[in-house]
Amino acid sequence: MSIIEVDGLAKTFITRERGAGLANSLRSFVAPRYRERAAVKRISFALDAGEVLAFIGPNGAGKSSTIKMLTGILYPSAGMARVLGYVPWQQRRLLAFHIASVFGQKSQLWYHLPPQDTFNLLARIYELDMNEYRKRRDFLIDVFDIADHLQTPARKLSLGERMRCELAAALLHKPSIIFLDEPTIGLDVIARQRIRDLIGQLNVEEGVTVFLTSHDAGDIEQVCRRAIIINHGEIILDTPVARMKRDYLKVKTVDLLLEDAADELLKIDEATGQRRLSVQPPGSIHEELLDTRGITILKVKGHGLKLEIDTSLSPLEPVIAAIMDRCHIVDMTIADPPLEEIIARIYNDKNIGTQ
Amino acid sequence: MQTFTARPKRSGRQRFLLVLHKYLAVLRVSAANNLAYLSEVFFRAMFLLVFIFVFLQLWTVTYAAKGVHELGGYSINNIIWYVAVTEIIALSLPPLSRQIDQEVRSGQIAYLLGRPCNYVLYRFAQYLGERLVRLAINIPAAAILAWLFVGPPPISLFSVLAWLPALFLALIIDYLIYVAIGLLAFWTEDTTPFFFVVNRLALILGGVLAPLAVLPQPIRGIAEILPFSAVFYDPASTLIHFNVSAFGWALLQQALTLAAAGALLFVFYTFATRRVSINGG
Amino acid sequence: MFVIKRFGHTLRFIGAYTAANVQAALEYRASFLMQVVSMAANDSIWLYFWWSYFQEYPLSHGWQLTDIVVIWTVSACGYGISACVFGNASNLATLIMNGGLDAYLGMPRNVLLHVCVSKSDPMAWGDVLFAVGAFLIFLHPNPLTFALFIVLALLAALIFTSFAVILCSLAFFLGNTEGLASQLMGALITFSTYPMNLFGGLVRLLLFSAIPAGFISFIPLQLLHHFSWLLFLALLGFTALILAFAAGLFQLGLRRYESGNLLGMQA
Repeated sequence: MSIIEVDGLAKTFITRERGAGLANSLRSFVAPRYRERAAVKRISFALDAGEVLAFIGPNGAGKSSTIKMLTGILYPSAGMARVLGYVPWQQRRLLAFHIASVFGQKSQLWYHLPPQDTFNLLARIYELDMNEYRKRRDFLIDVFDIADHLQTPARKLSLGERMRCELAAALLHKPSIIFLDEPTIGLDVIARQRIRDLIGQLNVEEGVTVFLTSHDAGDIEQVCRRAIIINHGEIILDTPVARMKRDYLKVKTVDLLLEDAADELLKIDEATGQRRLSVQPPGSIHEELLDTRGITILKVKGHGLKLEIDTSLSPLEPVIAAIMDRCHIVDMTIADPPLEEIIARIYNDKNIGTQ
Repeated sequence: MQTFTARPKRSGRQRFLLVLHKYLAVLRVSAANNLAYLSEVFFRAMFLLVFIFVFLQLWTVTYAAKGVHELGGYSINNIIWYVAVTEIIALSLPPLSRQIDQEVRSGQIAYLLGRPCNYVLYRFAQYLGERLVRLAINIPAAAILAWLFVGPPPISLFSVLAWLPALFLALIIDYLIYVAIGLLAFWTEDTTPFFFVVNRLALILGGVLAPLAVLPQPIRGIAEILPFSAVFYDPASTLIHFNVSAFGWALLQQALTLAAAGALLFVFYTFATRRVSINGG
Repeated sequence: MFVIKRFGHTLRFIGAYTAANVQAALEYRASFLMQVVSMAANDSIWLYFWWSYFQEYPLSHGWQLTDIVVIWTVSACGYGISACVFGNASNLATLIMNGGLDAYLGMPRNVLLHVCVSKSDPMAWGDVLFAVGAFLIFLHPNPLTFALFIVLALLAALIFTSFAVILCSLAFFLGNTEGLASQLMGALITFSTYPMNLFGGLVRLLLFSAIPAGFISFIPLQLLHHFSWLLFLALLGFTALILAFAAGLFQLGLRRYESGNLLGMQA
């Protein structure tokens, strides 16, 4: 059962062009020129109940416009969408009873009041039956472990505590779909993990469909099962996350701070003239060097060495073990490539594919 | 090693000029800042329009009811011009208390107190810049409206010349009062209520709505005792209804009020700086 | 039946928000108290001034001294209720300009109502306090008259709110009208606190139309002198009219907002 159906949805913004200076202002008043900006260009997809979707794309890709159309805040220039059977921009209020939105950067909780009071207010807004509400509220307090924070004014809570209260608040009215925008932004590692776990748990236990936008690859990898990538208003990729990981997220950046000079681990390859990592695989008896296919040297400076490792060709562990064998590692950072890069890569691949 | 921290020797006159230029520069920047708000001009004019119109109606009806042409020596023309002048002064007040309040709360004041130039004087230059710009906006707006409604103003070159020092003293008194209120931020959560009440009292008892002689009793009695009239009534009556002896008394009252306000501010300021050094800013 | 149920829901909704607003203000107890007291004091000072004024310079044409009290208290109470319960109405223009309306659009409630009740100006409770107090003290009303006073104040509150909504809704079409809105609101408040006797024909026309001060204080004054069903219905009618106009204008503008093509807005 499709819970969200999008068919050829498009949005073009028409704004009046305004130049700087008096002459231009007068001109734009008398003979206005309009500028069209196609934010969303005929996208189509469908979401089933219970799915956890990552909706990703760089800034200006058309993400917020799409979400606004799905929640009924914006009406499209063309195309159709149905959310829970409703046409969002025509039946916004009816739809609002069944969906929830959480913005990482904007809070729904009243700043000066304890979350408890915001919860009570929401109960009134969503016209919940008081008994049902209380049961639901207690359940969510338990799940999100926020019993200690309920009576503290929201402004005094840490970001992690506040985020959990926000999520609980959003789920009070048992929405079928929850739209999350950057839910883990600004959170520390532990808090981030906790939020991810909670979202996953709710999806499994309650069947809430999750529509997540995030710039954090970790959010996508751990929480979502399907990813739609949008760029320049078009859907570039619609694929299960597992496949995306396999095809595109397999590259890791490893930033090392070594005890010895980084140069000592490298050798110039006569064939290509490029520097390559020259270490022995751990526990090897021969002089044989580590297979460095898939390892690119990004940066060498003093004791610092930055590598890009394609984990499908060259698993991380042996490489790091080999380096550790050779010299002491003072500091190490392993990072996912930034989302923009993944998308650029996907875009490239897609282009190459179509040629 | 050369020491760059030693200040070069300057003559007294040179230092004075330097200081003067420093404050003039601050004044200029502050004025430029305020000129940016051109829409303010329009809105200020709108408010004055409503106000002057309503008061014209009020006084016309009142004079007719009493069957007189003059009250307390003021004709309708005089009284409208009087009200216009007091409003010019009243409306030109920048949000000084709020600014000081914010500076205290943000802790910025600790930084400013440490500056080489005296905080109070520095702040005064800023305030003057803002106030003068607002005055410059208000004067033509109010003057044109008043002229349209009741005709030319009853002023002479002499009264204008006398008005200037009275106005300047009034501006200083206002400054001292509202900085003191702003400094209350050291001790209270919110200074807005204090500003509000003082401002209203000053408006009524200072003679913004009518010259003191015309104010109804017992308000007139209270107003004559209190020094609020130094800010509004004194300069306005000097301009509109110039009278040498009255001018003399007005200046005296202003000077005394200034001294009192200055003393009050000094007390607040001392306590405030003490508070800063205790709390570390 | 359904209408009554919906009305009940709506009242409960408004009540819940007003309570939350008061709670939020009470988080800063001392400050709240000071604000309320200073506002009540401010109003009292003004009333005292005008009371003295009209005692020394009484108006003719059947003007009673207590009339100034009635005018002040009805308009102050009306404004106070409007600012306490529907306090966010004057903020509407800003919300339109910075996209803040989005959050309300995602809620299952009438957008305009939701926006208006979601914030409150705690100082305005001082106006209400002053108004009720002064009315009781100066006029010694019987319970029926007092009830009428409350009803009239409520109607005045609706007119004030509608006025603010109309002016702010212009932001949908004309860009930032915040300054204009606050100026005209100030004008409305000012005109509401002066006796109609002061104004001539053309101005009176204005005060019963574009700047409806006449409906806020003058007509209630007449009603409190001599109640007449005809006049009362006229007042109700006007209130309903201005409410409908405000709501309609807002809806029209909201449509525009939802197209995302607002003047000078970032998509």
